[in-house]
Amino acid sequence: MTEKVAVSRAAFVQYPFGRQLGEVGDREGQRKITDAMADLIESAEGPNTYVHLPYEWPEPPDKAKWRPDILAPMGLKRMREAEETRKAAAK
Amino acid sequence: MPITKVDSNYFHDQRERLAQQRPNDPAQTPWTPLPKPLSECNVTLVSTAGIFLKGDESFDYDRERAEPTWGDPTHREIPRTAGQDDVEYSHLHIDTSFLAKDRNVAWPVDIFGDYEKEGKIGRLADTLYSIMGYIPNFNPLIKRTAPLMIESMKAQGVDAAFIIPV
Repeated sequence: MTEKVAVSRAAFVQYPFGRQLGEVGDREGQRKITDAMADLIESAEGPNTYVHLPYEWPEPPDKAKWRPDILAPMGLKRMREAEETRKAAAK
Repeated sequence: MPITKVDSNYFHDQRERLAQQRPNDPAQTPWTPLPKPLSECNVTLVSTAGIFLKGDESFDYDRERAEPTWGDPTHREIPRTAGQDDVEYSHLHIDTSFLAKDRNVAWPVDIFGDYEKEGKIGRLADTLYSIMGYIPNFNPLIKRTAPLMIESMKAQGVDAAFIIPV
């Protein structure tokens, strides 16, 4: 999405929402990401400079927790709408 | 291991939503070169985690609950001296419990404090910034909030801002 919006510089890593820099307490791993951000701001020579960092989250995406325990209002709204659609289809 | 596949598993309909959006013209991307070596720069941080100082005004979640397609487009300023537990991590759409345990998972204040001590950055600015990243209508963010943040940063002599989205 960031590339589509087109920003001056961005570093990407496929980590779960809410833990973009790494795991709790993993300062070494967190610093790898922030070091890459710091390197990028110095090395980028023009707009739309993107780097994809070579790090992988240790859990598969479906096992990595990022959703809050309580659904956000939009999530609740979608759930209600899906339920209404299901009920309407069942009639 | 390099990751080559961009998956949408973290947000089930992200790919479809993205496909519907009109891309910006990369030729129009703004560009401001770093004015001096990072080791001489006054650096600030911007989070989208809905962080605010305890006692400060919360992001407006009452309205979001009443209007789920609306999100608070304002920002909060956080003194760099605020500690791990001096702020709320309030974004409703992500699990903020990890941030509450160790802010450096997405709000690297301690890491940038270390950078300052190590001379990797000139200094960490006195004020850091947060928005709450669920903003379906982002026009107020662009037209009002971003200029306010930029004005504040300029008043503090900030040379560079690192944005850490959640």
